[in-house]
Order: sequence, then structure tokens, then C-alpha cells
Amino acid sequence: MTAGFAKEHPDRFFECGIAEANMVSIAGGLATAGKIPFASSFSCFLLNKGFEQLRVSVAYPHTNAKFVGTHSGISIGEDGPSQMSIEDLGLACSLPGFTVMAPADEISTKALVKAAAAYVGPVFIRTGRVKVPVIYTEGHQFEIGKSVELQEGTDITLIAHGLMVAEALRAAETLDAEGVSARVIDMHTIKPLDREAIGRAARETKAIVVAEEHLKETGLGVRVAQVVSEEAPCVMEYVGLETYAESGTPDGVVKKYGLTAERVVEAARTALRRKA
Amino acid sequence: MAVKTKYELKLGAATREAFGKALVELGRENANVVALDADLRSRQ
Repeated sequence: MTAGFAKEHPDRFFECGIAEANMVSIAGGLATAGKIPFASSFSCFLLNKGFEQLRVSVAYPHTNAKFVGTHSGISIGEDGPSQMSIEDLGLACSLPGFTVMAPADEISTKALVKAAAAYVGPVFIRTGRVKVPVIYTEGHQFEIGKSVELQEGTDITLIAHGLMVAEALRAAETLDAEGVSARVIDMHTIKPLDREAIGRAARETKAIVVAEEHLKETGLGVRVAQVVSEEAPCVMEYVGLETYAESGTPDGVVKKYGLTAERVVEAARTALRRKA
Repeated sequence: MAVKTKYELKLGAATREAFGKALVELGRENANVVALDADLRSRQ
């Protein structure tokens, strides 16, 4: 991921080796010295091994360092559960002052990485290994903390991040065929949350499904639920992970662990039954 | 009556690749941008 930058700017590139904690400290120092460091590694190792340094050298002093986790979620596939980050968003969100994003496609990723560079403060951006469907058209304007309503809907709202955004759109199509009008929101910024969009969804559709390639207990879902409980309590269902996964093809593990449009549709039907 | 979604959802690049491209552009646009990696490759 950093090969292109390293080739063009060898004097501004630091290969830290597999010493993620040290890399985080270096990034904190470079930010303190006025640079805008982008430190990247597998999400799993960046967050788990670098957590103490992210807390002390980045979050607490609120340094202007940016971290990009790659190979996130279970869709990394064959590498297996030791490399699968399913807790990374929870860890990153637990750090006060951090901005946390999980973009869905190449266009939003590029725009939000640029936005992260312009923003002053610590940022974590989650990216994935597998090719993902293109959702946006070139030139779409993105703003940190402002979600995107991809589809209007009045009966239920599907909120997702990362590769589940495309699945939510597919689910909305299925629901539409059943006469259900589903709103679809790309919640690319996990922290700070778009309270306005969540509150409006809760008030107007009165049912929300949150779908994510992350542990349910510490992911977007519980964060959305907190906002809903404060703004306008409504029925909620969750699609996400409950356990560590296993080694397999990306498609295979994603299906086995229920990160599919079909599962989103099932959750939506349950929510609609509960709402009735 | 089903309304066909306007999203074709054609397969694009991985988001990690998009990060790499954005980083190259940022490097050209802002001399203060530096990059760090924790990889297995040897130093150039």
C-alpha cells in the first residue's frame, strides 16, 4: 500500500519492520514535530500491538497522526483468525478524541484519506484486502462525520460500513420487491457518529438494522443504539460477528459468518415484525 | 412494483489499494505528509 509513496518520496518514508508499537510511537513523534504521518499495517497488529502507544503517544496528547489499518475484518480470508481484526473499530473508538472511519469503496476511501490529512487530530481508517463493489461516482463530496443516504426509504433503515454497505443495498432491493421501503445509509465515519441522520432514521422509519464486518459487541451497532436511545428509541437488529472466524476463502468465511445481503434481509424482516 | 436499484455494484479496487493511491497524491500535494509501514520488506 505504501510502495508507491516510498518510491516517489524515499526521504519521507519509514519502513519500521514488524514492530507496530514502535511505528506508532514514531508517528506520534513525527506529528509532534509538525509532520502529517500516515502509519499503516494490518489492522489486527496496528491496533492490538500498538494500543498502548496509540493511547499514550497519540490519543492522550491528541497528536495529528493518521493510522490506516489494512486487511481488516474476516474477508482477509486464508490468513486466518490470528490476522482477522474483528475488534479494531471497538479499540479505536475507545480512544478519546480519535476519529474513526471505515469506508465502503475505492472512491470514498480515497476521499476520506484526503480528508483525514486535512483534518487536525488523530484518525484511524479501516481498509480491506478484497476487491469491493464501487458505490460512488468520481467527484462525490465526502465529509468526516457526515453519513451518506444512498437510498431513500420510509419503512426501515439499513445502516452499514465497509463491505456491508453493498450488501445493505442488495438487501434493500430484495426488500423493495416485498413492498418494503428501506433507507440505506453508509456510515463511513464510526466516530464521531452522524447523530442527526441516526435520529432522523429512528424517528421517520422507527426500525433500524446495523450491518458490519466487526464484532457486534463493540462495533457500530452498539454505538448507533446509544444514539437511538438518546434521540428516539426504536426497534433495532444487528448483523455482525459474534465469534472469531476461521481460515477460508474470503467469500466462504463471509457467507459462513452471515455477512450477506440475505442475513440483512432476515434481520430487517425481524425488525419489521417487532415494530408492528 | 420493484424499483430497480441505481447501484450497479461493479467490482472495483480493494480499499487498501485506494489508500495507497491517495497517499501518493497526498505526497505530491503536501511536503509535510510522511508515511510509515510495518512490513517485511528490506530497506531500499
